[in-house]
Amino acid sequence: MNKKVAIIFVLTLAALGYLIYYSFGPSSTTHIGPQVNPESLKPTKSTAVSQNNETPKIYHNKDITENFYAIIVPQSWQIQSSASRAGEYDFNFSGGTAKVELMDVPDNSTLELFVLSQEEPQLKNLLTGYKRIDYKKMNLNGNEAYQLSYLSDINDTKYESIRTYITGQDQAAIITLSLPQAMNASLKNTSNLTINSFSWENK
Amino acid sequence: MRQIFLFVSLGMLCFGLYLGFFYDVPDSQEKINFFVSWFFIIIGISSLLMNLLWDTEKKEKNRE
Repeated sequence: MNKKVAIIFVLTLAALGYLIYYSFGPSSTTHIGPQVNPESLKPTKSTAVSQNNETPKIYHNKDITENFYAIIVPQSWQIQSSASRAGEYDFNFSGGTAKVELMDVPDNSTLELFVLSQEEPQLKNLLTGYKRIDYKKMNLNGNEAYQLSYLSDINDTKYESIRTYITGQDQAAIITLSLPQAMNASLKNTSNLTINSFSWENK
Repeated sequence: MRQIFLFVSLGMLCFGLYLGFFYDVPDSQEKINFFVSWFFIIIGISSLLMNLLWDTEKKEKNRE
């Protein structure tokens, strides 16, 4: 073996070692795969359109490439930024919670099949007193969507949850609203406005 | 023998480049795709270089 070949061999081993460290080492999660843009966690602007005497806020999420979206929420909803992952928002409001998140649907499945065969059985296992109220297919601003409504018990309180799955170009979006069953109709109406405001911004 | 080795090295390099830059990676498989593609690229380039340098060394010796 000549010197040059030996040097290349050693360099190759070093490069492979570095590749393994870079791919699977402790810092690998920060540079491979989707990354959070900290700016996008902040609300970028609010509109002047008023509903129910309060100014709604528009959130433009640009955390994950190909999965940019916008959603309008009432001003009174408090964002829980500390609990959010990439592409996710958590909101608290009087009596209930809301969550917007992105979900990867396997390429060999459709969103509807995934919801019925994977998501619903999982919810049944996770939640106590799970009972399906309604399931429907809908069109949300030109996107196919599936809405699953169900009841569950959280701390001895009956909660009604509406989970809306919206198809996207790459990932699907999920909007989950959980409200006490005894909520008033206006709160339900506000929640529906939030769901209907969702739109993809992949341009 | 040398041609087979060169062909395999070139194949590995091309396959690595394809995986890294043209293959539509399934979601959540980015990490493993990154590793496999660069593994093939590194092995491909180094085996090509080793093969070529080894060959030139032999020729120099023969001339002497």
